[in-house]
Amino acid sequence: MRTRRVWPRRWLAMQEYAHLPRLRPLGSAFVHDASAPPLRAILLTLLLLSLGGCSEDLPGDLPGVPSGEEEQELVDALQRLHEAAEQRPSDGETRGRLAMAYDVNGFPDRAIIVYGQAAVLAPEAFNWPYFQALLMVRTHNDYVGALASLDAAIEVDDTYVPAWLSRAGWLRDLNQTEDARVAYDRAAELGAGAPAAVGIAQLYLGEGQFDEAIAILEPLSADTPDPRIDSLLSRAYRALGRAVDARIASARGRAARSGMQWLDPRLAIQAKFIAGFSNRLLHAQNLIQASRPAAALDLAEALVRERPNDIGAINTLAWANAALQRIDTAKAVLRDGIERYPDEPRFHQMMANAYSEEGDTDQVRQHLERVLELDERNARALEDLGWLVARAGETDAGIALLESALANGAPAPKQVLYRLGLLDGAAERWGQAAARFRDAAKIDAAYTMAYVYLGRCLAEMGHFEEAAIALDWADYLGTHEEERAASRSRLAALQAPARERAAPEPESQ
Amino acid sequence: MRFTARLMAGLLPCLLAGCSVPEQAESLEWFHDEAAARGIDFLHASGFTGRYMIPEITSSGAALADLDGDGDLDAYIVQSGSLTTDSEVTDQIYFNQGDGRFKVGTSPPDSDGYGMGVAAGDYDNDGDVDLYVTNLGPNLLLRNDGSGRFENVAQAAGVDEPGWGTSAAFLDLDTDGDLDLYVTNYIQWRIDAEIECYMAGARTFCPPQNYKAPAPDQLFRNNGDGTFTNVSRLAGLPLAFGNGFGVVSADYDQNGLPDVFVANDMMANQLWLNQGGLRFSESAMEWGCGVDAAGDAKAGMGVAAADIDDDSDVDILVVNLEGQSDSLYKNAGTWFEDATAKAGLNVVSRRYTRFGAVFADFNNDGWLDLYQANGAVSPIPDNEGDAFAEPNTLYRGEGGRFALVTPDGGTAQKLVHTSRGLAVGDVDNDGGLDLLVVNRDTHPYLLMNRVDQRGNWIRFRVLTRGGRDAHAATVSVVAGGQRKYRDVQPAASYLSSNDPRVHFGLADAERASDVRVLWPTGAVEAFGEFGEGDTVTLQEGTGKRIVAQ
Repeated sequence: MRTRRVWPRRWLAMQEYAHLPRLRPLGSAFVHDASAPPLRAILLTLLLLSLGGCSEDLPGDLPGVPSGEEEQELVDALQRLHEAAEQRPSDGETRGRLAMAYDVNGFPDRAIIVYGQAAVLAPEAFNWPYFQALLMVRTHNDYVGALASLDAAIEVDDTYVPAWLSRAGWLRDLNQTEDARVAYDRAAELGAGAPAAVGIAQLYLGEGQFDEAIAILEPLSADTPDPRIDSLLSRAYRALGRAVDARIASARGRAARSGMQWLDPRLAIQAKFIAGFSNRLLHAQNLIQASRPAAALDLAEALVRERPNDIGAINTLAWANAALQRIDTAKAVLRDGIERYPDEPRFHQMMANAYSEEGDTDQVRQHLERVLELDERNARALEDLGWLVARAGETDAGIALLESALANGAPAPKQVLYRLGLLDGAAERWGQAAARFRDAAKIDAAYTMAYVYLGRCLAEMGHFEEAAIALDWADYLGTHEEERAASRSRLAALQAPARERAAPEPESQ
Repeated sequence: MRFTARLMAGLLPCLLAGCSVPEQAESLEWFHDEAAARGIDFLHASGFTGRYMIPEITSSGAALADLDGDGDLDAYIVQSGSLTTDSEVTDQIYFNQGDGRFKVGTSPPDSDGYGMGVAAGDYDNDGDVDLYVTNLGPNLLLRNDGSGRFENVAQAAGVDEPGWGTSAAFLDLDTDGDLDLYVTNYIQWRIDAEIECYMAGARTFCPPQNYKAPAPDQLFRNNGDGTFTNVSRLAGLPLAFGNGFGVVSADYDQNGLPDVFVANDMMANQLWLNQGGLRFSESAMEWGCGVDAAGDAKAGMGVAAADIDDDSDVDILVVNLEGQSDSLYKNAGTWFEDATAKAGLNVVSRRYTRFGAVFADFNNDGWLDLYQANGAVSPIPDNEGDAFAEPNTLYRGEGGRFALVTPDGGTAQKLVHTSRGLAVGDVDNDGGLDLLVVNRDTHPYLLMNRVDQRGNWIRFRVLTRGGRDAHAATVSVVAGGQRKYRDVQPAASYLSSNDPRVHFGLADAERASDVRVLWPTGAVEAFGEFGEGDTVTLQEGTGKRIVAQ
């Protein structure tokens, strides 16, 4: 077995976690402190080196397999991988597989130890120090140790973009701005795109260079709607006194879904080590949310076969089918679920969503009413039912339900207010409608249609100047051109008679 | 071998003594837990039986306030109880005997709910401190008869909200002279709708976002006759809300009216800027304190607000989950800057899950320090005994930067429990601020201040014309050539209520000069100069008016 020079920090990282749970701390000397400088680490390393050098022949014992309240299926899976690693003690790949299993199934301390061991056994492998580094930050805030591990991975392959993005972000967190900039630049060279650009913008913001940050963030905001980009942009605008722009950016940021991602393909290999019913269920749900319903479907089907009475599994299977637009199948799953659990409101809510996709309003209504029988303060159901009945002509009932949704915590109050405004406007209750649209715009300063209809309502009330201001705001936001034009026309039409009345009488000859 | 032996001889003592003292950390004992010795024998009960229902991990809060009107701080500790059975455990009052030792008082009125937090304030302006206790279930309004005995009048007063109340605050938001009531609500939860969550293949408590049911907060206007009116819609509260945990008030935009900041768990925070007439504009995102610098909403639990850098405006700290840094929002006048990294908290604060948080000058050096009460929300693998236990943390402050103090929490005793509620106050009136910490399923800490060579100090009891604590008044003093600002701000931290008296550490200064009070009415009065080491009463109308209201 060849002996390889060890990076002191990485060795220390292994030792820091090797003390769990067997070694007892020596007073405060082994208290883990992410903010502590490396002096103590270097001293310890020197001591250890002086005691016999730095041999890699024995990377250390494997930590024991958990034996608490974990699911047996999970424990069995871990045990199999543990035994495989014991049978091949010098094989880094086998040890790495065990580490990944600990990692994805929620045992970070064990994962960190075993990743470190795998890295020693297979120094040519990128994954083991890389995964170890990610975990050390995520679960222990050990930036120093993580950077050492990450550097070891980068030594193996310095073209992997996520590694450079992680390096840059951690250095930024440690206020090592120049080093962070170098890392972001490297990531950008390798084609990282928006994440690297945003990182550099964050560095500019931290240094008070707001114009430079805006120069990066504005084009990104147009191309890549992402709450973080808009939030950073809002911050830059504020610092420069551009309050209106800040307000709009923060509103956009609140509404946006994340459009800026850099997938980490290497992490994908960990998924096959997810074990245990509950972990696999969570994974299926995460896949749906990550817009991978096909992968989720296979998993969900397996879960329901294993446990046909599990509410979570049934729900997830229905959700996956619905995400794939297999509405009939989703409904069949939900019907089965409702038969088993007639009082489970989530099944009825999902069934209402499924029928809504098909336009079967009677069924939608039936299931939403059942949700409210089971949970009278369910804001989502109140809102959906309120809008449904209002559009069916039961305006007063619809308004009452929508107002109840607001009082009970509707998840998107601006939408409820907007709908209430439309209903009041249709009944020509202009003042009430204006109040609703004004409130919706208060929540979301970038809600163009709220301003459009606010302007319309104010115009109908004869408040022409205020109406013009509202429409100016809508113009500033710049979307919904036709609707803005229509409201402007109506304003002009209402203003004309008033102007005529106000015009001076022509002189008679 | 000789080299090795010399090396070991040289290094080993150094290592064992932990002699690498980083720039950021300091070692000295600041506090000593004396709860049992001083008569605080409370035992919290979460009612946990293995079902992992989310209320059981939130624990409860405490208040330090003068409940019997004898000039010292008494304690009110909220009991959680049980979600599934009738529980005989109750909240508890402890009356201070005058020297920081306590005697248990008559049990306060019981509730049907699962106890959460407590706010203190004289809502009926009759000269004694009343309490509002929040529950999962109907809240209680405990009216004080003046002797520290209480009657629950919540239903008659119109404030017996049945939701999941967490932190609450008595505040005169319409500046009409009586205390209104802001109640933060967490999620809309029912026991029969509880969901199951797992981590590492074992059951654990679900995070709040899994329920997708945040609950709007409530604002009750004090009608002046012992009753309240729910003005939440008028105020605009249904327009923005989240899984609310912490609330703290100050005049953040310095328009003369108290504003309200709410910390939400895994959702954007709210900053309700007071527009007058009980109308508020929610402005957290615009002002930069809705999410962190990276645009992420964190697990906001406890919250603290104070002028940490003596620039006359109030800064805000929100404490979060393990793995997430604190969020320190430094007030820049018309917005907040996320100054967590500049304050030295970005990395070091992520170790534990933080709940209670207080800014207070524990060593009286003139700068606000920071104490955090910690405890996990998921079982920590390999934790012996309490699976959620974590040590608390103490930071020494200096001009808006914070340095970690070791050992953890500033105590030589090894104190590791699942801490939640946290209240600060000087219970033995010796000039050193002490801490009351509520621990889940065990006894609380009463951390007596033991800082060696504390600086000089002065404290003010700030009263309205009517004689009650002037919530949201700002006291400023000049000491050591620097003007410092502190608010009357009992409601802060997590589910708890602090000593309403305003404490200033003076370092070496022997006098606090040019003492001024900015009253909630907008009037400013000057009270002159006072010597250190005393508690002085400042009452509205008795100073020299500088600015009329």
